[in-house]
Amino acid sequence: MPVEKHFIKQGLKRVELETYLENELSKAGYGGVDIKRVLTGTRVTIYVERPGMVIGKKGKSIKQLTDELEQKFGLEKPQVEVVEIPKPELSGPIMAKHIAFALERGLSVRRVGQSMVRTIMDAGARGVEIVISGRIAGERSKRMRFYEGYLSKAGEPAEKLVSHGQAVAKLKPGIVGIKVSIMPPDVPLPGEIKIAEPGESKEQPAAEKVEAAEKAEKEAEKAEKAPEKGDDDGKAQT
Amino acid sequence: MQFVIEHLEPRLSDWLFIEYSSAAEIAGKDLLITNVQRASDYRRLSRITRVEKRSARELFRPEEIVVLDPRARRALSPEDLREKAAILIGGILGNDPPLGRTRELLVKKLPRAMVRHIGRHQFAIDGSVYVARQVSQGRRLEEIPVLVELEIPLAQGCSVILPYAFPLVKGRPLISRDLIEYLKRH
Repeated sequence: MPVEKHFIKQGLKRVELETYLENELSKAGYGGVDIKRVLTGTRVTIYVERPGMVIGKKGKSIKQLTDELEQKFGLEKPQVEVVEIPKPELSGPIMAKHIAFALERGLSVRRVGQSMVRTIMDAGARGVEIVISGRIAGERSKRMRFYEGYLSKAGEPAEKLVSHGQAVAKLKPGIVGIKVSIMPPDVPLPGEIKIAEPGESKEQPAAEKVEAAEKAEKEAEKAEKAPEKGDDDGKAQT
Repeated sequence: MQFVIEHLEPRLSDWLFIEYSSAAEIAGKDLLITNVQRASDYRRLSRITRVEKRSARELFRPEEIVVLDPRARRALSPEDLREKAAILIGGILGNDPPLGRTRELLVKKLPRAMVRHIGRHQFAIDGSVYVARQVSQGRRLEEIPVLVELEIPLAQGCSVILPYAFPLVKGRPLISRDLIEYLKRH
């Protein structure tokens, strides 16, 4: 199989898995999945709002989920780990679902958009953008954009630091799409460089470093000699 | 040259009325709105332009009209309009992504008519009338600047994005002030 096809297949498999988890764990407040290959199998970390609902009574639900991941998606020895999202307001997928639910209940788009921006910013986010698109409040399809604060839109920070989420609301005039992007607090941005004060510096000065290295070498030599002595002692005893 | 809008929406909404009014301002006496069946819609539209209950299919022969459809194979050019009496535009409020309703509701019913596009993007009705008028006056499509996606700020931290194409007139997108007010109200 060509390399490109292999990667496309992997990507499709991942999308299928994410869609499956999103549908299965929607009630538990699904907020994303992290899949890593480890020596003992595949580690699947699921981020949810309510982990209890995923684990189930005596771990029944999680066992069932593990079996399905193995059988349906061919994951090798999956080890499912459920992690609670400490602040659901900072998770894009969860907030997108909250917005979809509010719209389906009949609340106005503008009110929902603005109140969600406030909720997310109050939770400490650096920035947020909510885009609601479809036949909303009018006859023509359009997009409403609600935004506040700072949000990276391009480059590595946008891909790795921003929490993206999307959901769909089924309304009377048609389907409405919701996209949420949240810039969490405390994320290290590549452009932010902090120059430490001389007193604050954690690193040792060069001269001290050399001394410390010499000390460490001497200690290592001593440690090497000590077990030899011990062995000799041991032999002497026997 | 007449600019004919075939009304294809089931009801005349406020948004549609604003676009028709703007089109009437652009084309003046050359605008005709056809297929207006409901009496209340007919009365309302009669105040802004010429209105017909009958469809454009009954009023014109297919050979004498050019139908505008974003899915047409060829672009509209001034040469296409030499022996034509009217340019037919679908009175439809579009979707994003487009559903191709012009083809279903208009083009398929006029198999012998000439079908042309004015760009691959979806235009508003008044924008289509403006571009068609410019081409009828001899301008080529490439000479008409267009902006795709217009973002209109409504309030602090809130804006509306219209995912359509808008012709630029003196560097500004062609959109009626009434429509901006309507969007702010709703």
